[in-house]
Amino acid sequence: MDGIYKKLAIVGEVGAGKTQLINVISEISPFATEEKSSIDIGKEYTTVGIDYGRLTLEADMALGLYGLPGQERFSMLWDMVKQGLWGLLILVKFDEAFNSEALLTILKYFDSEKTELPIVVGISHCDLSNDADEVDAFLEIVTQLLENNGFITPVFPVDPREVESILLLLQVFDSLNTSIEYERELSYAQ
Amino acid sequence: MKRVACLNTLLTSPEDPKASEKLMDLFNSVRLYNKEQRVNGVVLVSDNALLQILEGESHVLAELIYRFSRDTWTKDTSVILNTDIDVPLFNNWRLKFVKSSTAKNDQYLRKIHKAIVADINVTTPQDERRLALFFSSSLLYASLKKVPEAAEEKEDGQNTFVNKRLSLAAWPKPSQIKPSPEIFKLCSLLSRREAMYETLKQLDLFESAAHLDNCLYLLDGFGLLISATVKEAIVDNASDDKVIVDKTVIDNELPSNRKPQIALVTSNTKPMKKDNPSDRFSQVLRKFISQTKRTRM
Repeated sequence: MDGIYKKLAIVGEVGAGKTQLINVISEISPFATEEKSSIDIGKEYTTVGIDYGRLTLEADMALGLYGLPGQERFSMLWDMVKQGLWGLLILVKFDEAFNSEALLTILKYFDSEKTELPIVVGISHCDLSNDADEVDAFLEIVTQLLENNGFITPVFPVDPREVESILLLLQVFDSLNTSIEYERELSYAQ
Repeated sequence: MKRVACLNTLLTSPEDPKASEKLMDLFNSVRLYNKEQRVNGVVLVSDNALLQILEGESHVLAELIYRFSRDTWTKDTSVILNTDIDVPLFNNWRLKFVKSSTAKNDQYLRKIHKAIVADINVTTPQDERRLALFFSSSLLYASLKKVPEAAEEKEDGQNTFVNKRLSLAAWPKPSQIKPSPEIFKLCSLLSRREAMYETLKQLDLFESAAHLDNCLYLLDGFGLLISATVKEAIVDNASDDKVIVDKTVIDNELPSNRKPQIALVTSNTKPMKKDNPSDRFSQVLRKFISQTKRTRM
C-alpha cells in the first residue's frame, strides 16, 4: 500500500510560536534551522526559511509540519508548500501589534473557498492578557474581522508549548477535513 | 477619583470590513494608554454604538474624552455620567461586545447598570436610543432566561429546525461551547455549506438526534446559527432522494456582505465510504490524539 503523507502549514509572524509548536509534537527538532538574530526582535534565535517537523502516526503514515514566516515578502515559501495541504494554521500573537492586514493577506493568498483548504486561526501568547475576558474580546474582534471579509474560520487560543492545545488543533483540522469529505459524498449524490 | 461614562457612534457600520480593524486599533491603543495612566473601566460595543465607562484621575479622563470627541471614526460623543467615587467598580480595562444575549453577558450588564443607573443623566432621544442598545429592558429580561440545555420543541411538538436549511455565521468561542469532536464536525460542515436539518440528522454526526438538537439550540442561542425556512419544496420522485428548493425565507438573515458564500446541501445520500486514504488517516490521527491524551492524564 502507498504511504499517506499529509502537510500542515503553520504561518505566523516572528515570535508567534511556530517553531515551538512544531518542536512540541515533532520527532525532528525544528530548532536546528534557527539562527542568532542580528537585530532585536525580542528573542535571541529566529527561524531562517522553513521550519520542518514530522509526526509519524504509523509506519506508512505521517503528518509533515511546515513553519513559514507570516510576511508577504516570503510568499515564495508559501508557494513551496501550498500544494495539497491538509491544513493551514495561522498563528497570531495576542499583543498590541496585531496586524489585521497581514492576517487577511495570508487568508486571501491561500484562498480557502477555491482550494477547500481547512484554515484555523490560533491566538498565541494569551497568557499575556490580564484575564479571560480580554482574550474573549480579542477573539471576538478577530472573528468579526474575518466575518466582515467573508471568512468563516475557527479562531482558538493556542498555547504552542502545550501538547493538549496542539491536539485540540489537530482535532479541529481533522473535523474540517472530514466535513469536506462529507460534502464531497453529498455533492456526489446530488 | 472620578467615574465618567460617554456614548459614541461608530462612523463605520458594524458590517463594514473596516469596523473590526478600527475596534482592534481602539483595543490596542486605549489598552496601553489606560494601563499607563491607570484608567480602568469598560468599552461596550453594540451595533455601531459605544458606551465607555471609565474610572481614574479627573485630568486623565478629561484628556481621554477629549481625544475620543476628536476621533475621526466616531461621532456624537455625549458624556452621560460624571461623578466622584470612593470605591471603583473596575480593576482593569476591557472591551466587550454585547450583541448576543448570553447569561454571562447579561449578568455583567446588570451589574454595571445597577452601579451607574442612579448617576446617569441622559437628555436627548438619541442618547436614550443608544443607551437602550446596552440596557434595554428586553435585554435585561432576556438575561433571566437560561441558555437552553435541552432541545426545545414548539408547542405543537414540532422541532423548530425541521424543514430549515442551516449554516453558521461564526464559529463559537471556546468560552461559549465546550469544544468536542462533534461540535467541530457540525461547525465545520455548517461553516462551509448550508445543510438541511434532516440531512444533518442522517449524517450521524452525533450519537443521537437530541444531541444534535442541543448543539443547534446552543449555537442559535449565541446568535451563531443562520436558518432559512424552506417554503416550497419539490420532491423528485424519480431519484427519490433529491429535494429542490424553490423559495426560502431567511429567518435571521445576515447583511449581504456577511453572508457566507456557500452552496446548499440538501440531498439524502448513501453512507460515507470508510476505506479511502483520508478516512484511514483520520482514524489513525484520532487514535493518536486519544492515546496521547490518555497517557498525559
